[in-house]
Amino acid sequence: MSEPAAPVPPAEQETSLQLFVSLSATLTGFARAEVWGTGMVPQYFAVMPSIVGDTMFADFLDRWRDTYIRGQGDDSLLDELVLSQLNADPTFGPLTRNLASMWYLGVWNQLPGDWRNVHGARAGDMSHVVSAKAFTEGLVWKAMHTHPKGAKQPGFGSWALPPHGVTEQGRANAV
Amino acid sequence: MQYDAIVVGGGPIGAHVAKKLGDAKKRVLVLEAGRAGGLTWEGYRTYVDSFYTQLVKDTNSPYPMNASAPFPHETDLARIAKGTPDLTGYQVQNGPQAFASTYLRQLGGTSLHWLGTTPRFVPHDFHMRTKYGVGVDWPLTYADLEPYYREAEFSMGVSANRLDQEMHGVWFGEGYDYPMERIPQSYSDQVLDRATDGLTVDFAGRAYPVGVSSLAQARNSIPRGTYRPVGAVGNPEMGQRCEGNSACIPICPVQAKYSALKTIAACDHDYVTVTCQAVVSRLIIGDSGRITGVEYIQYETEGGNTTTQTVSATIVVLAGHAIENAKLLLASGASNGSDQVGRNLMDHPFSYAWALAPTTMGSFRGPLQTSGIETLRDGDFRRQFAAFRVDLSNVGWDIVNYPPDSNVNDAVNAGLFGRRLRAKLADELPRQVRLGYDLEQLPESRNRVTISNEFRDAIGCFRPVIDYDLSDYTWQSMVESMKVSNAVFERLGIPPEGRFFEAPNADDIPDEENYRAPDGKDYKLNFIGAGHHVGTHRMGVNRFESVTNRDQRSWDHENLYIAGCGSFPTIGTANPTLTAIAVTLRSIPDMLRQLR
Repeated sequence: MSEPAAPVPPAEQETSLQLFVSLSATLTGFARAEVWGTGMVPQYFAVMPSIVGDTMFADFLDRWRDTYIRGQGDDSLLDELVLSQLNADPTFGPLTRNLASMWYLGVWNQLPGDWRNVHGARAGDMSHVVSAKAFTEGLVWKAMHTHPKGAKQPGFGSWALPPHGVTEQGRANAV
Repeated sequence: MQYDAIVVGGGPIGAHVAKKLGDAKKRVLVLEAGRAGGLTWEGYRTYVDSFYTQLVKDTNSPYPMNASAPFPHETDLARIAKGTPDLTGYQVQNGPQAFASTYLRQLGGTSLHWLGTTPRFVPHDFHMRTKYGVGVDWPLTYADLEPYYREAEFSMGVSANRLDQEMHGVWFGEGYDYPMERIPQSYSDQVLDRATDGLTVDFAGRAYPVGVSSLAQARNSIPRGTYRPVGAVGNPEMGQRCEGNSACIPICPVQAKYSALKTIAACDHDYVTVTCQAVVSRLIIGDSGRITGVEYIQYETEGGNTTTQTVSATIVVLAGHAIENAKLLLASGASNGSDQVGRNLMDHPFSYAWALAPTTMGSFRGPLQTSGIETLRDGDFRRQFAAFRVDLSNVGWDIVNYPPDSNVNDAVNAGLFGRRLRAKLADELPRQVRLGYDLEQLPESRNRVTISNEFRDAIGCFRPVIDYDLSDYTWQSMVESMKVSNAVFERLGIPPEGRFFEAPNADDIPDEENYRAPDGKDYKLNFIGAGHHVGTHRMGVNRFESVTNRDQRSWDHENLYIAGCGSFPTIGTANPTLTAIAVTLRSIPDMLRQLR
């Protein structure tokens, strides 16, 4: 596996693993280092092709490579391209959304019926929590500035302190 | 082996009976239907791992299903079509309302998944008939129970400040304070406390204050005096303080929250024997009316082969939960001279209101609840409609739509991704605010647990058959509670269109089931259960209207005690476990008199 701190290569030279990480970072709004920092990259990189098939997964990353090459360096253009080339695509849209929600929740959602009618329904394509660690490493908890339910407990009385974005005096900071 | 006492059920009630009798050097056999999975730290951690990997993290999600000792799940619930019983889960539901509460059959009982909220009853709760002309009176008063409340609070380890709890006539013995200081109130509690300063609502023509106060909770905090908090079973350094895991229901990962496992572990095991995977199927009644034996079915593996055995003792104590106690009595033809067994089933129907506050509430931090609005737990309005506690969620909309999963999925399905997805979740989730209402319900003969030969589980024991409905006394309170939600949301600066009251599936309610309030308006009302099963073998002052006397001793069988929340003649507004333990501690001297 690649080092988390490795410099970002140009899209053309990315391995499929690096493509998976750059796609994950783009879909979640977290930096690559944060994506690596969850420790979940190897598992998700293995889980997705095991559920949708190696060919479908490779095609998905190819589509991302093409998109990334066109939008690299221009965040708003890249966002538009992700919407039109990935999210709006009948084949890759459901995979795009599932990858984002898996990163946020640790949950694989069963693909929509329309998708399964066309591309097949594999046994692994059931809604499920990918693993205990997938749940506790869900990015949603970081996004909302708290800890996963039942894990990474913040300590006695921490809940009485002002939350993220509020000063001790109770006034909201600019976020 | 001849035992002094057989205790049926290894939850908080059974554990307290076993502890007290064992300490008095009586030989006790505890028969527990479920497994002892939580008695080792490693075993308990497997529950936590199961919790992480469950898609729906409902009340019983961490605990393995068990075909030999089944129990209800929230996911079993379906809306009941008129005249068609719902057979989905363990409980057969006749309706018309679904009885939407769960319990757990496992060593430690439902205290494994309970929230840990431990308010005392208020004095008037014991005299509803005399004081307000509704329900029935208890055969006990607050003064009768006060010393046992103190004992229960020390036994469980309750954190609270006496001054916060002295409300509605609740008083404490001279010099008493709780074993631990109150749990710090959450940031959202503090926001709500400031927002409701001086707020009142009009109930039945009188103004009542709406104020936020700290809750008594059986979770570890800073000890007072010489008290030592009790940590995890098998790992006592763990759980010395609540660490804010925000998962009290369904499981505290560090056991800072009380569970009956702690009391089981503290028993004198020279005198107390705990036998698990032993489902009591029948009480054997002798010619004199005494219980001469207990028949139980033992299984090695869940759903596997069974053997049936009998055992006898001088006294038998049923502590298997309000539903299971009633079921066992009915299956045995025992203690039902009054025809009250299984009747008067009550719960706190739980309705809720939710909104997004204009600024952060700091939600999704801390134990699930650290404060409540306790000011409406008593008052003259109880002549007309139900009193209630208001539960203030520290975890946003929780049971409304199971955040954050629903928020993530909704946002992703709406096409959001990347920075915008992250920003939306960061902005909205911490602003979620949810008020919940634990509404009182009156004892009614029609609300009941029965058994039927048609409905048995895998080992041939009866499944509970439940008939359940609400009366206008509770429906009206649900309407009145909206005044409180509206007043609080107004103070938070939430406009009327941003306030939500009905459960998400309220659209399913047909018009003919609308509640028509005295103001002539129709309401679609919905609720879930609070898990506060009460009333199925109530105590009383005579054998014609009650199942036991005030010592929880059966009127019909002198050596049989039927203990726990099922003993309550009325439910009041308090979460019932503390009171059930206090009532049971009060029954111990009577048990010991029989064992002299």
